[in-house]
Amino acid sequence: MPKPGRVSMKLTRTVTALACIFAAAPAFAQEGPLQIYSAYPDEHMKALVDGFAEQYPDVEVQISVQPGEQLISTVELELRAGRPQADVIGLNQASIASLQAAHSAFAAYKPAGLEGVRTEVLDESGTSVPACVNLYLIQYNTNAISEADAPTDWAGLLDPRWKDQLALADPASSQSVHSFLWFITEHLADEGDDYGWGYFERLAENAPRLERSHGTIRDMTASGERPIAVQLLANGQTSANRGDPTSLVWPSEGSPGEISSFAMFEQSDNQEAAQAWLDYIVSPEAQAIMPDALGCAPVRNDVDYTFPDGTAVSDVTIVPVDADFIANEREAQVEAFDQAFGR
Amino acid sequence: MAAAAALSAADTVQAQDLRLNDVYKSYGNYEAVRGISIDVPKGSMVSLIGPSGCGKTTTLRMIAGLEPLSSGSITVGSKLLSDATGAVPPERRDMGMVFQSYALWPHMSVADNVGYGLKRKGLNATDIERRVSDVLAMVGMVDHVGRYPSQLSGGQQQRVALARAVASRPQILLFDEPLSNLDAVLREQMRFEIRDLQQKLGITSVYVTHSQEEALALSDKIVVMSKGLVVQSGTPAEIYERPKTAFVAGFIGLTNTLTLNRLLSDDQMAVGSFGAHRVKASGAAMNGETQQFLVSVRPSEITLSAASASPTAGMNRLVGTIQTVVFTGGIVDYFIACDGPGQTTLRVQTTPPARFEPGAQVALEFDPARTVVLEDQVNGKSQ
Amino acid sequence: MMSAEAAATVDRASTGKMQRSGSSGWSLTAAGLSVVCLVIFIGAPVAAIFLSSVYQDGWTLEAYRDFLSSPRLLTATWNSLLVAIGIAVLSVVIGAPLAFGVARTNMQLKRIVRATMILALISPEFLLAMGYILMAGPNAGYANVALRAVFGMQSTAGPIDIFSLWGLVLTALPNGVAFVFLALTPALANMDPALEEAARLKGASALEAIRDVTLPLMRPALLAGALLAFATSLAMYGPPEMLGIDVLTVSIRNALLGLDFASASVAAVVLVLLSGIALGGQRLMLRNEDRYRTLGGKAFAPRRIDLGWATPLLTALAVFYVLIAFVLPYGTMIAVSLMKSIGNGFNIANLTLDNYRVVLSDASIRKAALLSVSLAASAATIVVAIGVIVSYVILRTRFAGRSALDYLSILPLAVPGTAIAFALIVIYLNWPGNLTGIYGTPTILLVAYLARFIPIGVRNGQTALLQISPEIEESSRVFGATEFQTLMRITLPLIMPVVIYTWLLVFILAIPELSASIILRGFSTQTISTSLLSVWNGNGGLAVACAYGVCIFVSVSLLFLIAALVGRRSALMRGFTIG
Ligand SMILES: Nc1ncnc2c1ncn2[C@@H]1O[C@H](COP(=O)(O)OP(=O)(O)O)[C@@H](O)[C@H]1O
Ligand SMILES: [Mg+2]
Repeated sequence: MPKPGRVSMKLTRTVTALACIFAAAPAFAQEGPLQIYSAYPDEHMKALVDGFAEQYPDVEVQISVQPGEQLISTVELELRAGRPQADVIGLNQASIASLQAAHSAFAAYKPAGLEGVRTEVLDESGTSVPACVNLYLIQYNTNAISEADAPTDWAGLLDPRWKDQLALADPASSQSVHSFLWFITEHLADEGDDYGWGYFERLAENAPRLERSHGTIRDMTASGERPIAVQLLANGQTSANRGDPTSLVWPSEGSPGEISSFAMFEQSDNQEAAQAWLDYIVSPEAQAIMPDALGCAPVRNDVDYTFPDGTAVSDVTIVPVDADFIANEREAQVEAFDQAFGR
Repeated sequence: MAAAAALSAADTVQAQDLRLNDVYKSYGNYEAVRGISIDVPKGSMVSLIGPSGCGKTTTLRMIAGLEPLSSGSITVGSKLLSDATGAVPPERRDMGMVFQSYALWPHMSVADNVGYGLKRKGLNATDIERRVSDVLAMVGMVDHVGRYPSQLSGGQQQRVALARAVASRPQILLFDEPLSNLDAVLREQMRFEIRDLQQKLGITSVYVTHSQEEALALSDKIVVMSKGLVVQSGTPAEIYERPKTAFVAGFIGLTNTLTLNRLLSDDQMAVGSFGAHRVKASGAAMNGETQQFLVSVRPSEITLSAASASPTAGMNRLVGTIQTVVFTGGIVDYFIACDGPGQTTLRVQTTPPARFEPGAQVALEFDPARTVVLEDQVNGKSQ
Repeated sequence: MMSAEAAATVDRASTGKMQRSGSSGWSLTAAGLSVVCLVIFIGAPVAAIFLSSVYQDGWTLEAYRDFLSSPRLLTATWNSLLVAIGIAVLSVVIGAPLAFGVARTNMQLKRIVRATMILALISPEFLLAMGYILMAGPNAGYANVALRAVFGMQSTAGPIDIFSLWGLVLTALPNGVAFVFLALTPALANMDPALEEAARLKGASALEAIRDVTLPLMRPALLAGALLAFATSLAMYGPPEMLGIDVLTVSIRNALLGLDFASASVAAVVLVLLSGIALGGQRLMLRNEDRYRTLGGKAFAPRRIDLGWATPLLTALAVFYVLIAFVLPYGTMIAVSLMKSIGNGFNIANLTLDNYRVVLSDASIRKAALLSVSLAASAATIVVAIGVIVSYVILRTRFAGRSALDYLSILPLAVPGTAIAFALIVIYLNWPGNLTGIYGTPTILLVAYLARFIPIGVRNGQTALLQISPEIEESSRVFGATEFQTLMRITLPLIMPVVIYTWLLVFILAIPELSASIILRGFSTQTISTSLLSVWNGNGGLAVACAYGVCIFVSVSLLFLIAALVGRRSALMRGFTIG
């Protein structure tokens, strides 16, 4: 017969001791490492973090990734509560602009290497620092769709052949897809009946899946669940690295380019490290690895680049987006989109 | 147990009187105890007896400080323990208690169970060990110090509970039907051991039971309770010989009750008629309006003789027909239908051998001094 | 009898040592602590939900008007109800025969069915959703491809569309079935078989006896299980989010993403009321249980019934359940977790262990895992402590209003995690909650977990205390121990197995907590579940997510195994305590 009393007492003590250790654990320190909120996936950030570490070995970098739209509301709530939990944020230019308009949360900063950056991607207010240009294109699954059958332009997605085959990011949840909305409904508005809101009304008939994030869409295209999609270059790049059976189409109407950017919080208690990060982002070293890192096109003219499928940059029509329009009109755009999709 | 003798006189405790003064206890609307006053003289053992649910445990728990009082007070010597406004917590009352379920701690060995109270009193380890083996010797359980309660029989658990209760030499010992879970033989044996121990240690004790034998054998004083009230208290002999009500008479010992029509009465005695027979009984004066009254006669107080035999002078005499005879070893039980009003059956107990067969006509004779007038009203309402 | 003079000589000075009835220092502290904890962790959030629905810059019912005129929110409400009803009904249809089969018949696979039920209960809901999306996506889901090939279907899609209400029902079904199953098996095992036999003597067939006698007797347990499945389905967040189906929990999240607190609060109120009604009903069922109780304390040898031709049908149902609840979804996940590219199928060239390497080496995942483990451990510890203290106050003291504590402590069962998280945002973003500065820190997650899991602590605490006869504690008092010493030396050691079991249970449930964590996600509050969801949503991809999911599943199952062993030990101890 065991002695349950003794055992129990011992267990009591062990549990109490463990409890004390664990209970102490969540009390994390808020200072020290450079903390970056990022809408760009960890695997994309990794190359940048590694490159940064070579130049600034003393700075430890921590990344916290959330899909863009969720990141925006996380930061908004934190700002309401008093202070953001990070030093730097990585988001597209339009989103940073709208956060800045609402909260003046970011500190303007002009990194040393900014002169080398193409002027058309620069943020006029100086709040956000451009990292790369992320383009919209069409990605399709080569097991399901032959190259000959693949559409060659955005209007080609309206073909009833693609019913139940398409995927697209949901503008209610994705920040980036507003570049695509702007491109079709504003930039191409005068190009005929195929474009403007009519485009989305007809696209709705093909019942595309509306997903929260482009990463999910990439995997659905790769798996064949949604073999054709409106996709961002960065994800095409990941698919290429991974060996997915997918291919890219550069639509003849051109590609809207959103500007992936970084900005530092006014309230950061790690200003120096934050500035170092922004300096690094526009440096030729970071720009050179940008296609492997954030998976998109460099913003410096002095860096060579070809797209993952071998397409030369000069063969693609890149249309810089109107970040102000996107920042100011997003609610109206979501509403119009909901109407087009009958929700 | 012989070991009880091993206790030196120095081990006895400075006892003090325990008093319950008009104590009430209600649970919501239900009144479990309805104003009882009990006096437990120092060093004596008082039994609370009564049917299940009459409030004995509640009373004992109030004494232990486990239950607050609704009104009244409890004192020890000149010290107030409980009243309606508050109570000295149980751990500061210096009492020992044997629970009905024993309430031994299953996760502690016998030694730890018994030594628990000593540890709380701040004794050092060697003293505790010595005292523990002393009291375990007293109850004959020294060989079981290292066991756990689940490894002991009911009787052994009971002894451990007893040892635990006396180990810290409390001022007052409380027992809540400690023997009710034991078999008859063990119960009788333990009964004497408890009494022995209590007298050796001279601890003021309250003993709750619903068994008349235990109460009669153990106590200096018996308190009979019913429905939250004390109906009678006194020495075992008083209660047995002069029960005040049919309830007490029936609860402590067997009895026969007879309804008599009043003929005459004074302070000391009363005479009534039972059919054609006159019955004389001893007892207090009764209200002038009473037309009928009850008397109690114990079955063993009645002697039987053939109906034809001549009456014994000075004895009450009834006649009847034997209906049943039951032989139970030491006793012969007769059930006799008496000639008289109604269908009165009397029970008579004699020593063997049986002298009458069912159907026999017999005379029943009993001493008026042993025929007790009860206080109950005849229409059934008890006082 | 005490004379007046004697009473007068009572030493009044010694009354200084007397205490007010039932209010020793310790029980006062315990009661105070209970009230404070329950009000902060439960009362405040529930109040915040209701208040914020009627107060936005002034008292108004505007938010309710907006809710009623929003087609999207009404659809979400409707979807929530449909899905919850669907799950409840189907859970009974599948769970009841399986419970009967396992408890009372000679069917096969009993142990496997039981184990699967438990796995379905402990495995995080979103893991099954992942498996199902990969398995039953209409175009490329493996099950669909296989079904089309087997039945020679010409279409390129279907026949199963997981991205539908039915798909959502299917995803959450294993969990619901387990609720019904676990509610029914004890009731069935305890039923006196003589009742059925009596019916059969009167000429009823075995199946008729079940219909006429067994089913009516089981009705309360059946309804209780179904209502629990209903309430849990209402509260579910992960699967509808991943399938892209608008239900109320998802609406709360969407409203919060748009910082629309008014809509979020009304959606939360509607959810709380719906689950409150269901859980109220469930408690009512169990309260009336005595009326139906067929067990009189004695143990019946559960007699096995031979159902004849129906037995293989039951076994087939068991196989079906084990397939959909475990083998297929987790098999799919394991297969995908080993793929280089999800598009290239299951072949040697496409095999890799890289996804597991990524999971085990990724700094963010490690950080999230560390946070989840330490949060779960802290939550479990505090929940157990609060559970013991509150149960103690409810069962062992005489304070007025202690039954209010009882009700307050189980309230969170009706409040889905999304709603609790929303309430915490409201509380800790506004005065005076914002003074604590815990918004955005792991502490706010801890607060959310406490609100979610305190009911488990208090319920188990009460069960444990009820098993200890009060006399065991009272005797300790009589022999000189204070109330607190008694708690530490007698009560706690005796309930320790239950305490440890509860600790492990809360730990296991807290580790994959998603619905509150996702809403409170921030820089330092990324947990295992939110990081898994973000891996699934592109930050790593489906294959890595599957590897991650498999790791979580294995860890949680192992932990449960430990808990079950402790639980068995505690059952032994219980027998011990009574004996
Ligand atoms: N805690 C309680 N709450 C309500 N009623 C009680 C409680 N304890 C005892 N009672 C009631 O008080 C009466 C007396 O109980 P008790 O003192 O245990 O009787 P007994 O004389 O058998 O020991 C019983 O009717 C019992 O039901
Ligand atoms: Mg009793």
